[in-house]
Amino acid sequence: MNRLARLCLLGLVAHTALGSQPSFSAGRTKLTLALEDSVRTFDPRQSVDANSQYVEDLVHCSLITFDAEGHSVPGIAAALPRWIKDDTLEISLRDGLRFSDGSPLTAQDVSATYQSLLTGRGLARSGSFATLSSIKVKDQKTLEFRLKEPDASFITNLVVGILPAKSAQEKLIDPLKLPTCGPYRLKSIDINTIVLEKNPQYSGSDAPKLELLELKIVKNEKTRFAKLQTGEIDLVQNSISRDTVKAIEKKNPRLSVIRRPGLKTTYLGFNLRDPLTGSLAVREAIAYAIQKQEIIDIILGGMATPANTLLPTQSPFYDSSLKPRTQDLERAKKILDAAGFPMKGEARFELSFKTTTDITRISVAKAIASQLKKVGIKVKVEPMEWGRFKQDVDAGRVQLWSLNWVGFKDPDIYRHAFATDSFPPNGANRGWYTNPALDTLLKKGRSTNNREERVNIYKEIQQLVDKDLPYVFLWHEDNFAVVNRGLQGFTLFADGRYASLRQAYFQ
Amino acid sequence: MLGFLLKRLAGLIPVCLGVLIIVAFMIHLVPGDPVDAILGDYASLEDKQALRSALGLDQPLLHQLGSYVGHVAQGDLGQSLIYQKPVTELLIERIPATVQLAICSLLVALAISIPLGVISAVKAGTAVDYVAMTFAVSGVAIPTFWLGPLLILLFAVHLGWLPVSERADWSSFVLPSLSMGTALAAALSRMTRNSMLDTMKEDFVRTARAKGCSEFSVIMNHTFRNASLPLVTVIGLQFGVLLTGAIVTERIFDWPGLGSLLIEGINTRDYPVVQGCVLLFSGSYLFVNLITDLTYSLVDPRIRLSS
Repeated sequence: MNRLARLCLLGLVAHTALGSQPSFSAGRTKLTLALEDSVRTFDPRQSVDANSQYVEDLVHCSLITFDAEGHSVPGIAAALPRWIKDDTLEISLRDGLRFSDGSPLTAQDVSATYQSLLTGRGLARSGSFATLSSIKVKDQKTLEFRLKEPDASFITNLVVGILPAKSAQEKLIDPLKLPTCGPYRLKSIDINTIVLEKNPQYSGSDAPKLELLELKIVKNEKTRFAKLQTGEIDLVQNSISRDTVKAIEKKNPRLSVIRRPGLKTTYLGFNLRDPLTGSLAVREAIAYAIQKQEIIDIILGGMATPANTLLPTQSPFYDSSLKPRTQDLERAKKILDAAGFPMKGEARFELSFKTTTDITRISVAKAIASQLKKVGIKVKVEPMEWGRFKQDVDAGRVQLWSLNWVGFKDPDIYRHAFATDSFPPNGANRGWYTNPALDTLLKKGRSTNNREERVNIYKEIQQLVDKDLPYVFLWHEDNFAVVNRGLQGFTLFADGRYASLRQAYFQ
Repeated sequence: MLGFLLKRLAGLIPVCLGVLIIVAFMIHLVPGDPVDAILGDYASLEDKQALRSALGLDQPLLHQLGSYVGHVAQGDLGQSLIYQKPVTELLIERIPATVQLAICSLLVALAISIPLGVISAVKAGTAVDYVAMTFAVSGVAIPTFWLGPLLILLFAVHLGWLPVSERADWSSFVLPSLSMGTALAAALSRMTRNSMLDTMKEDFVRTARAKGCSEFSVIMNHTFRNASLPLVTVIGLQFGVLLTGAIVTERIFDWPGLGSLLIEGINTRDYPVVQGCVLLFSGSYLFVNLITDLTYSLVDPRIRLSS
């Protein structure tokens, strides 16, 4: 019996010694990163979830892309698209573009890809091209996109991965056989593991240094953390709790934490059709009762910046002249008294705050509830499963709720969130906010191609929204990543993409 | 025997149909829209309606259900709304992982519980018995969501002996099997002990001793064999539980099995996937029960299934 136990132990030790654990040492050409959820599709025309888009960005090439700050830059286009008319864009392609099978990438491929979105009902990304009227191939390298109406935000939609013209005609594509034009190509797809290999035909100047990228789907946060500690994964972005990040920063010499401001704005939404939250005085009092920095420090581990508008500070459209409403409890109480909401016993009135079952969101809701209690507003926090929560918010069965806007690149997001014609199910104006002056400005902001003019329009829009307070903008969350210290050249992108992995290598 | 088998197999059909109808109704009653999950937040209303129509989700529930049952009768479990793959293909991809884990967990449970239960019964009332039963009570009381991460911390993070998660070589089976098998081992060891104690009081055990059989032979050949009949029933039922109840373990250990597919299906309101998983779960449960009934006659030849 003792001999058997010893043999088993020896086996385990031998297994460990023979390399069950990946090495942290230099010179590795394979990087393993963890994603917190499945990649639902490898068809760029269908990718609307974050993980599918991250893979798309590594495997496919697109007309334009975004730099680390989230600003548009040319992708396979020779330069950013040019407006030749109010409703027509001209785009020229770079020289020497090729798919991974060596075939040339031409304007016909670009046209076929976008044509399939134009005609293909049921393709998830068709919705982004509602204003596209036609695509014309002028020559092998030049295309013209004609819109139904002027739409300055259209350029930021030209990020769909380009497919070979033949594949673009098919509704279902086999991702492993599909020739692609990004820095990597798909090598294998398993239920929990996706392997990408360097695309030898990649024509960009930023050819990848790592030979293989292994994307592991690790859904449990504690498991992701354990895998980071053992070296089974080298990189996790955003999907680790902030408490864990703090522990890693203090204790683990093999790992480092990097962070940068992200394109994620968290807000507190109001239902403007509700008699209580429909009152501007109540909304203002709530805005003055919230101490954002306190919540950021305690619940978000300091990894966010207080917000007073939807747009992050790095956006060229951000209005820096807006004055933030900082916590002023006396002012909040006075506003409520003046509006006819006196204290009745322990509180003036009670509000319901619906949120999802995410632990951080529940903590935030409870923190806000405790802050509002100080001005006599009793808040009942109601966590609920996502499907039920979204249904209630879309149907207006809420008073307060909290959500965030993620990864938006153009200020036209204001139209989606606040225009009168964006009431659900047409858009995401879930607070049923309506302001004709804002509607006019939103239309103008969208139809104007002049950058300076747009900046001024969106500043005016931000001021109007700040005055009407359909949301209390809470904070812009930082992006953060825990990485193997040996990994060099990896930088965070504001929109969470892994584009900098092209430059990454192990030292 | 054959008549019994056919009768039981025929009995599976109405049960599966009942399960199918209840699950289909329930999943459709849960708030949430698969079209939202597929198209995202920025899709136009027209696109959403077009997709809803293409997927048949705009049809009355009874119509959807009727059509689904018709397809299932022809062996077609439908197409996943999210992955755009046949549900059968998704299930086939995941079945081996779940079955392998269930078998390994059962082996772990049996390897622990049978010796523990037998020794505990033989040494009833001694320190050995108390220690064994303390383990049994603890095993039942410790939840998998706590034990799993603890095993990872000890064997993967601190000792570095085993991988944290994923299904790869033999070493990847150790922690999830231990995690799932421990609770079952605890329950089975208590049952083995009780059954052994009851059987040890029987006359035939005393007779075996009187005939001069060795103590080992008395315990294993006479007592344990007769005490194992109730165990077979429990093991059969528990194997069904292992096949269908690995959701937490699969989540903790990134196990690409049916449990994680079911959770994903529920989260994304992928109705065909949820229906397919539940149908498979109930079918496998019924099948395991049938096998258990058949095993009775092997363990105890006095039982005749035809009766």
